Amino acid sequence: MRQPMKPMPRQPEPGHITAHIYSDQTPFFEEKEPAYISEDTISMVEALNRALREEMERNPKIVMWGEDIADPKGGVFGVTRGLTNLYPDRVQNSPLAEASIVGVAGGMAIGGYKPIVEIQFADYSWPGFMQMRNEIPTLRWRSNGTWSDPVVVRMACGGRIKGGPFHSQCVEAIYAHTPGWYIVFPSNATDAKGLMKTAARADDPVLFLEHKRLYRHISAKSREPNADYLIPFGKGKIKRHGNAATVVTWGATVYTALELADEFDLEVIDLRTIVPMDDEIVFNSVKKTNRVLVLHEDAVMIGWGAEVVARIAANCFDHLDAPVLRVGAKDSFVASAVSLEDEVLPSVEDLRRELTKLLRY
Amino acid sequence: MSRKSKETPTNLRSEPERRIVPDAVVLELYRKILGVYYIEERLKILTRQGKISFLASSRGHEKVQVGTVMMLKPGHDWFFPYYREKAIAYALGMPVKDIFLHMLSREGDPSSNGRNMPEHFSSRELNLVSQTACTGTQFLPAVGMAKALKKDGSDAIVYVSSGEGAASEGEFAEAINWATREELSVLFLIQNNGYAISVPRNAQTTSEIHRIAAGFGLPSYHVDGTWYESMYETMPGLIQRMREGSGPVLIEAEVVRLDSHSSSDDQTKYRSDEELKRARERDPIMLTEKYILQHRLLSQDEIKGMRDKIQAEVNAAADEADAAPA
Repeated sequence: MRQPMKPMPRQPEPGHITAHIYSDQTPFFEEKEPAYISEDTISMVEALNRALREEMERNPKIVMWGEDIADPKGGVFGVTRGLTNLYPDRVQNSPLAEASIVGVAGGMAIGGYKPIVEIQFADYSWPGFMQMRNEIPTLRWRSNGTWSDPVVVRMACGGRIKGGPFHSQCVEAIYAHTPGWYIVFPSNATDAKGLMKTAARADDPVLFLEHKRLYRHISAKSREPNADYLIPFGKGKIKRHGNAATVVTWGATVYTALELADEFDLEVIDLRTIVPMDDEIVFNSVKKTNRVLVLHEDAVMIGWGAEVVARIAANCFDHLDAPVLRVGAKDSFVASAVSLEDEVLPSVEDLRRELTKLLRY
Repeated sequence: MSRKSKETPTNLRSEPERRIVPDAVVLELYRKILGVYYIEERLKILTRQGKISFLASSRGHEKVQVGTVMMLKPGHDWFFPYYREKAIAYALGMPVKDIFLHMLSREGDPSSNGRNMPEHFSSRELNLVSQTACTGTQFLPAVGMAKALKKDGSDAIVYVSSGEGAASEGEFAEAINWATREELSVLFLIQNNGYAISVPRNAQTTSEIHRIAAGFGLPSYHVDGTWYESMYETMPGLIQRMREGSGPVLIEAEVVRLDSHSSSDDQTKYRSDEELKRARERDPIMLTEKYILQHRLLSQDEIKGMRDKIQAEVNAAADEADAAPA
């Protein structure tokens, strides 16, 4: 007589492998028109500072640390100025140790707190990369939704401050390759405030990239929205409507694109959030203009532009009248001397040359 | 002890004549390390059957792990273990079936439902935090958890551990520094079995871990982790003081690694027969059994009865986990 077949032991059921990478409590909601508190404009540094103040007042679980962030210095760029005076038990200097800054934050978030920590220069974040790649973003996923680690890591990034190779890096693409993070990269004071407030309430890890050239730059100054204004993640913004071509960009290069917007009749899209990216705003614009260029300050090779271009190629192929182009930094390190920094980073001239190609194709 | 002290008390005395642990505690410890032993034995069979992809046996470490949990408060204290610590999960009270479901990467594995590699236990009820497989990355999150507990005004302690190899990681130094500077209640337990896979301890550092930690101002102690008397004399008082806010403590426990690093390793390639024989002479289970017989806490027959009963319980749970769905 045949033995009955032994049933196979049960492996975990496939079909939901991306569940628990992000929380269900997603920071996606309808964006409202901001109500401004004044006609005056404020800088991005002031906007970030006010967002942090408002959120600290609202949520007593928010704690902060980083190098030099405590008063009287209040951060090397002044983002956290005044916060230790308001909350001496909640805002403190850390040891000069980036793995500690993010790793201890990860643990405190497991314990129910909301750390918003600062990495003084994104270039110095790499000792913390182990925690930011392996520990923090995997926790919810690897425990099948049991634990979570909703930290906010703020980093000053970007060049054109004569900072040389180690005070100028743009890091969005490297970090975007790790699932589990929201990555935010605002270009102006209003967005910085609205996005920081969303980050402070997110249920997942958020990497908040602050372009240091924009901290006090006049172009990034804008009006201050009131305390109720939050910007959802994953929503870009059309900075100028146009018809000849679309330029997709974020951070400081938004202003590079705007310089040429009238000359070329460009539609300029500021992504504002890198992860998740607002595909819809990009695809809709490409379907209208039929020509698109991605512009960013990070190096071209495997920059975030490569991902943007791939998504456009897969979704808008029939609408393209020209190859999708990219403009970014040379595949080099950022040099210190201004003449050399200018050579490395994408310039208005680089953009004009490539736009001319794009439109002549 | 002063925060700046560089003293590193050593307590490696292991004379079974000294009867300082209450008999009931010895028997509880013995029962639990036997539970771990029979879990490991069954896991070895399941690994040879190709049902388990990775096994890091805790043999030789079981006493320091179970013994430490017995000095702490399960469900109140927090645990950030490393990959050779199923005895921690077991001693905390993780059901044996759940241990096997995780090790077998089966549907319903409560630690991660098959996402994390075997040997990475997790349970919210037990305050046992999910780990990665990277050596030494658990230290900084453990410090952060202790910071949260201090802010909450809790007297809970955070246990974090590793082998001696991971103490070479930079994050270990950062973590003992931060925990010490903020006087956080972290119990660092370094289980020194002499080997990081095949790399012997003298290739890690010319110093010793408890001395390195003491240099950070962290009160550090050196104990024999194969012999409970040594731990029992040193640790409960320290743990009580930690609850009262005295700050972190580091324990470097000398243990033996009786099995290969993992199911992917063969230690006979780099450890001599003579050395392995010496290690087996310090088998923590054998030492406790000798003690129990010497002090007549149990007879040979009672020990056999106890072993059979525990083995049967473990195997029943293992069978249930390994069984096909109903």
